[in-house]
Amino acid sequence: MTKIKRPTVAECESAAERLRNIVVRSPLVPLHFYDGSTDILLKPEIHQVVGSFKIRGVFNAVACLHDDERQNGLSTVSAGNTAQALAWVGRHFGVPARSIMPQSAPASKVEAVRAYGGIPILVPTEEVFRFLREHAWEEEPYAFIHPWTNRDVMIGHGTMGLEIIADCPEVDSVYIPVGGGGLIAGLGSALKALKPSIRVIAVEPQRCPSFYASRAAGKPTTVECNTICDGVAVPYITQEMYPLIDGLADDAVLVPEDAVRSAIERLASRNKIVAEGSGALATAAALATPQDHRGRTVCIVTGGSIDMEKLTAILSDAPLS
Amino acid sequence: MRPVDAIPLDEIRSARKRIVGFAIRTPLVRLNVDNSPAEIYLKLENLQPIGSFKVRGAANAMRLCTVDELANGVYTASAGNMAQGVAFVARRLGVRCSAIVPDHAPETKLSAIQRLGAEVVRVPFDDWWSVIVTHRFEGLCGRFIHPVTDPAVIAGNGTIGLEILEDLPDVDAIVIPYGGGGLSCGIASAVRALKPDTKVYAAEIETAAPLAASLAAGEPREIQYTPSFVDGIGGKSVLAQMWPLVQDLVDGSLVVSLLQTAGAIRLLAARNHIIAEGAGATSVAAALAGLAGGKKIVSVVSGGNIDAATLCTILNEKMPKCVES
Repeated sequence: MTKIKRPTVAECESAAERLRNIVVRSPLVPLHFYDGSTDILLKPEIHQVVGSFKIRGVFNAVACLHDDERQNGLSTVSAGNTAQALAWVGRHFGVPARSIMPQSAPASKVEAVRAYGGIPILVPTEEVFRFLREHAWEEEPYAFIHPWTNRDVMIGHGTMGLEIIADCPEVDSVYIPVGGGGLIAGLGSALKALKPSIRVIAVEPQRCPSFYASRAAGKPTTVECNTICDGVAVPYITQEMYPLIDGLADDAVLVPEDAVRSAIERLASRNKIVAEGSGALATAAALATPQDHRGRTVCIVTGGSIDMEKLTAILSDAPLS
Repeated sequence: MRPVDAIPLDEIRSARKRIVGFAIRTPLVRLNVDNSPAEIYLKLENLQPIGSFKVRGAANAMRLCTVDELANGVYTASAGNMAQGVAFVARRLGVRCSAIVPDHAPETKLSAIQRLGAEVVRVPFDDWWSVIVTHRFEGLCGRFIHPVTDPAVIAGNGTIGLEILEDLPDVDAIVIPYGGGGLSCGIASAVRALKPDTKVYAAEIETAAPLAASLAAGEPREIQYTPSFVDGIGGKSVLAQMWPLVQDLVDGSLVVSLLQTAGAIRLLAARNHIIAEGAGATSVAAALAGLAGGKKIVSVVSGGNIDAATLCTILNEKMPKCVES
């Protein structure tokens, strides 16, 4: 098994140069409260061109390919956000981009992939994970961008860490949602390298607790996965990712579905930000933690691609706030 | 009542320093839309702490007051975003605050103001309008902050112009929702001083577009006003005090329909993942309709304070019923 080396600050700085005119340097915004402060800052990656942070890692990885690798066309496996990013990046470089996606992917994400000129290939969920488990991309001619184990993807995500430390050097804790682990691997590595005392908190839905269960078992573990947080719905942590994430996460916390919905409502009504389920996870987890346990907190709002029917259902059910 | 003068650039630059810690430097992002008549960017003032740009003017006005002036508290006339802006800043400064509201203002707006620590004073609409026109209210002492014409408020609004020009130096046109004119005149003052060839357009809603009528007539006109879900802008007339400045600084009024505005709210939520209120979306609707030309446009999304029921109706592709405002 290959051991994956943590992305370095130097690598993230090179990536930041590559991403200069592509990525929005999202500003840290306080979570707004009527009754005082929570000391929570949001990093709203919803401002990125594809509505999620994935553009950082995917653009960096594709930019690092040789021209002849790129010309074969790009490919990935994705619940939606990586596919959107790959489609956009493919169009930018003038090469085709395809993505295997679960049939359960939100309609808005699939439509967005097509709108950016990408090719969604919808398959049953089991097929998605079979493809990944069996490394089926090795039989295909495309330049495959693994959604989370690709080191250049992690490095791209790590650029977020440079921004956070620059904008809030006094940050104590950063709450990061975990799906396959690519975000926490990249961002967590950059944060720890720049400020070793920082607390990196891995956040997952209670209904898809793959890292939490793995840590409890002391080894990679597969779990049941049934959550509205479709962006992180990966039921396992891979052998090569587990030690990397385990070494970075100071704590692993779980969020129940109703707390996710409540955080989506709060982000929309107070901060005027539309977050998808996985995008609201970090905020939900921080809100459930007493302020003196977490100090000055940054929560990554990773994405905003939620179907409008789901959003209105959440906003209508919520009590007047 | 003297007409309002143009705001000098120095005062806008000073305002910028004063409002740090109250207002945030909002992002400028590209509107995420296929088939657009222009390159449209969004200045996201809906992301401010109280959901609208008003915190800028409120902060500048109050930070300019002396301790003695603030000792008796502050008050403003507004049921909406200005009341929240003033209340937010007052609480931060430990200053007492009252908001004079027209008696039919909805409960949700009033409770938002009260949760920010301000007292709500309800008066009949005509008395409320009289405060706007005369800048006086017998029932309260303290510093009155006019929601539109206070030069310090307009200078605070002007800081948005500084930021836009820094983030998009080659902007061709800026579209700004027009209520009382304080936001348009503030931004236009900064733009006139720094990049005078940039066009500054007002955006109005078809159900209440007094500026368009006044510009066409060459003098302030009163219009037939119809209430709608666009409740942050759209009055009966242009304030006489503002008219000379508006006429000088603003290059035209772009009028959009309720349907276009609702469509813009949906687009912003679905594609840019942000919530805009009706007024805040009019500038986007105008740019999307091609009314501001075909080059680089910045639409100011002035606020996001829309109630959940109205928002859900619009996101579900229905039109809200006409509401009293």
